Amino acid sequence: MSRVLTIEDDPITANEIVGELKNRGFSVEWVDNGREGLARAIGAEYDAITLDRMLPDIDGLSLLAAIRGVGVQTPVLMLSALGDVDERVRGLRAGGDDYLTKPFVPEEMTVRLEVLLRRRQAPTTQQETMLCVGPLELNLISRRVKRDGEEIVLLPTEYKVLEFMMRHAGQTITRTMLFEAVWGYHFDPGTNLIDVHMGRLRKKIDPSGVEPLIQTVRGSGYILAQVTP
Amino acid sequence: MARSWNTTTFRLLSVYAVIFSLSVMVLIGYIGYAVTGQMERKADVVMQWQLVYFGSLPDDKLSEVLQRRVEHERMHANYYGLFTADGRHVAGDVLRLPPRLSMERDGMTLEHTLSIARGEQAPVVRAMAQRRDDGTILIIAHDLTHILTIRRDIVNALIGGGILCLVAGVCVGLAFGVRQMRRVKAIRRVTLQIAQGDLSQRLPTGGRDELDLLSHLVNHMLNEVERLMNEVKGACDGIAHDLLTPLAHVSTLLVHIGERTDALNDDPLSAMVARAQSSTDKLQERFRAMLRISEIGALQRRGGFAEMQLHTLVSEVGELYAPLAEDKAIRLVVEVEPVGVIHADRALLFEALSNLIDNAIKFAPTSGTVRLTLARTQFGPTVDIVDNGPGISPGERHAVLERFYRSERTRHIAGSGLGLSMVSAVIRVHDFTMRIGNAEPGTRVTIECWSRTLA
Repeated sequence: MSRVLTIEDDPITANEIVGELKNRGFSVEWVDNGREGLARAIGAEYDAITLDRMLPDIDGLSLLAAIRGVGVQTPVLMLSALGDVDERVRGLRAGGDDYLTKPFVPEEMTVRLEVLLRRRQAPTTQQETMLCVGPLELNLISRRVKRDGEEIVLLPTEYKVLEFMMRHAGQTITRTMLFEAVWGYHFDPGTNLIDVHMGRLRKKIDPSGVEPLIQTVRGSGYILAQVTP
Repeated sequence: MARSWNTTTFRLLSVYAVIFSLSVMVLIGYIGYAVTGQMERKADVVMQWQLVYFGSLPDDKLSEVLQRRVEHERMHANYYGLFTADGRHVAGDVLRLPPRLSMERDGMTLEHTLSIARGEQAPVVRAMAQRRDDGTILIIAHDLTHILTIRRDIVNALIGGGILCLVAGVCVGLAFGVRQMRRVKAIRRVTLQIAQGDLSQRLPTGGRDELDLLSHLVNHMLNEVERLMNEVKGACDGIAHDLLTPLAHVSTLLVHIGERTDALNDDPLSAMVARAQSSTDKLQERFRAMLRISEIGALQRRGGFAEMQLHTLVSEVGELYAPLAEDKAIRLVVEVEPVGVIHADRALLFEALSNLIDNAIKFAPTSGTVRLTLARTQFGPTVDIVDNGPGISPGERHAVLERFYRSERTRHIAGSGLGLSMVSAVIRVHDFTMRIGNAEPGTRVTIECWSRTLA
């Protein structure tokens, strides 16, 4: 079970985070101030930390810098009401691993946290060449996609979307995450736009009559998974 | 040189040189006139007294006294002459009676015309004559050569001194002008940086003249502006934190409520919750859009500026929206010319162009056409987004850029009314120009991707 430290001064947000993470099977510890957060982050072993950018006693960035300064490399997900790009860059430069703007959909936070944890567990040195989800295969070198051995021709964007989905198979992927990962921009392009892209990919991956691999998760995003009956 | 002429210092200097030269000339003229007049009057007084003296002598002795005087005066500069009433020479070294000379002791200046003994060249003299009681005429002439010499020396000295003053003045003026120009150049450079959004810059100061006074004033103003900007940013961040957070709580709660009501199989209740959810979503969306606009407007994003290829960006936007257009059976035509690099914030421009294309697709009729064109002009690249939708009437073209403005004709189409104001904020940050025109039918939005004020 992964241990997560949540440093968050707002009790409602904290409740949300803790509830969501517990539902997903994490063991969560919550502290509501920076001083204690700093002590715990340095003293105990955690698998990940969620860190509020604005804390009453210590600024989130200073706290992060302090943790990194003593050599603690625990992945940190910054949560902040400050959404502009400069703040994001500052957060990532200070040693944050990901940055999420408040208010956020709890699922999105979990998904991002899982991505951070997986990145830690599977170091990038181990080169993957194939991604497989059920009947779906994606060759990262030849950039070919097959379902049940039959090749599917994808456009470059569709390929990028599918690759991202397959790398995070079984996890809910939010539209903003997808947009950030595939197109590299940090704004909300509108639900409709991403849905249309996803619709095209779906038509190719899940032709009618076969078991669909891509599912829409109501209110948050999509999930690519093999549904076991 | 044309540029030098435009500086105040150079203009002042030139006007000053002309006025100085004119006044020196007038001064020299006046001094010359005054000196000559004074000397002539003095000579006249002396000669009058001499005439009075000679007048007191008896007539028969006069020619003898004159002769003696002439001999005595050899080295002095006086000439004498005694003539009969009909102008014949009787005695003295003046040999001929000068014409037009008054006989009433009135001084007259003769320029080298006096006829004198020994065939000498006559100098410039002051002459005076008197008709005596016996009818003879007595002439006295006084040499003015030394006076003229003095006058010439004074004039020469004045001219020399004047030229020296003028040269020195012009040189110092030039030096000041160059210094002033350098300072103005430095101020211009810093001002450009400030105009580009770097509010931490201050104008150079270091003296007490008008320029420094102004610089101090501007710097003071900049301090205020910077403080206010930070306050605004702080207020925005505060709003984001204080208002958006509870809103997000409501939204999350509604999702949870939705999950529970779904389990109850109470359709009207589920529908109500769904409506509440969509309303809070809209609220959040507008909130974010407003904050985004303030943030862009606050000019704090110059950090994202870099050299970038506009044509790849435009193509990217085209690719992103192609499926959406196709879905609405709209033809999206993307025409891109390579235009070289521009200095811009890639993420902001992408967002702005996305917004415009999104609008165009939203407002184009089914099976309509949307064109995204990047063209090269002599000034720089322009991006055109053209649709064949209802268009924007000329009266509304300015209003659509304001926050929350929605045309009556398009009120039924979903949107926050903040898209175009976000775009115009981005355009302002870049100092580009955006025009909204008529595509007959439809809307043409043109973005001129070059800076107007900083060119």
